[in-house]
Amino acid sequence: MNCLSAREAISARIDGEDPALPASALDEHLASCADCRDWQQRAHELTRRARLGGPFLERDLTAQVLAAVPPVQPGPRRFARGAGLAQRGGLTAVALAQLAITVPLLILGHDHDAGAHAAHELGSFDLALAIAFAVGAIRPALSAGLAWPCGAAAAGLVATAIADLIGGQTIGADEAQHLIAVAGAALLCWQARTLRSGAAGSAVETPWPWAAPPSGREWAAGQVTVLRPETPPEPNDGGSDAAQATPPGVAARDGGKVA
Amino acid sequence: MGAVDQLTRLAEAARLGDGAALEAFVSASYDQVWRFCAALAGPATADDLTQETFARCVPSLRRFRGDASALTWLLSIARHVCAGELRSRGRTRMNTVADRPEDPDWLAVPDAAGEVAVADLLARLDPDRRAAFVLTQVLGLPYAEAATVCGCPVGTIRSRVARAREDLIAMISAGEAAYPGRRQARSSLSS
Repeated sequence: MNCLSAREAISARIDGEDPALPASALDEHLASCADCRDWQQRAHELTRRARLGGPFLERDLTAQVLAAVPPVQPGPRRFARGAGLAQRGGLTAVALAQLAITVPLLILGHDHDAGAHAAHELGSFDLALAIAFAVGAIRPALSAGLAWPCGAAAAGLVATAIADLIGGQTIGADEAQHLIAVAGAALLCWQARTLRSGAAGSAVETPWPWAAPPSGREWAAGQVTVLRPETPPEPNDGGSDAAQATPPGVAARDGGKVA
Repeated sequence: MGAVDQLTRLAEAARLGDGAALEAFVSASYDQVWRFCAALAGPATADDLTQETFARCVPSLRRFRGDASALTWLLSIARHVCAGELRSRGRTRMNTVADRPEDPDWLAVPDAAGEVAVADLLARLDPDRRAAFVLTQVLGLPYAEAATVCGCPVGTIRSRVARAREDLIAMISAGEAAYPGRRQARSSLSS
């Protein structure tokens, strides 16, 4: 054994940690090496002094520190996680429902009294919506971009449906399927809002419940991003948190209105 | 590790918006953060660095998960804050505590009682060794927690602590060689 690894083991043993060497081998080396015996003695002495030594802080920093920190917001983490799952699950369901609508249109070419070609065009439109909702479920980070066109489409469907219902050109039962598009657009808006209102850099997608929990390394990596000096503290965090804490129904209505 | 558990509980409560818990969390932990910052970057800037550490940690309390000790989490933030501070001081002064420009002598000068202030010598250590030594010796963290704070394996902490001890002992020896009388005084005092 050389003195370098012996001293590493001595150092660990002083601290009550695993020396990573068999104690017998270390003692054998110590018995034969006067330098390391002396070093062990000095290391003990140094340790005692380091543990007693300063620098010490005599003042109470609590008030000073509290004055410097932004007020903590109630952590809606549990809600946010539940909301995230509701959003992704809801979007998945909506995408499947929307896909079901496209089957008679695209494959059977049948839509009430419309011609086959018109049905195909409508089917393409409905398929695009279904895909947008599915993408929103798979990649929540994209929902802000998806929310606008889907919201516009849903708003158009609802507005024309109301107009045609009043004009007596259609019946409510036929138009009810547009509520799927409305629900999807509202979910996209809600999801985009939730992600945006997270603190900077924290737009972490809510994992599916069956996904593996993040490892320590991922956690550590996340911390590193948080700690990056160029990440500015979010000054206007308050309003967004309130949005995050809004009950789902209200947020969905809100989202629909935005669309 | 009851104290750490208590701190983690306070962090959990503070995360949920409990203002009193936040105050208790700061009150229970600022001292260790300050001492870590003081040892890493010097006592003169330690106040600011401690404040910055908490200013960064409190907004992200929302993301704090109880599966890590609140103290190691806080200290790892402090380590990043101090590393940023040392970087901004520039490479040439990276290794030194800038608070003591009037002290050009690298030798460890024993005081009247023959004791070398270990805290003064820490400033001359390599920053990684200094962090490992301060965490395990001054703050008394187990190697495993120091490894979490530094983001390195436990074996790396073991070797950094040993190298820090080597360096410090060498500095003290050099100081005693330069002031043999003081060494005498210390020996007679301690015997």
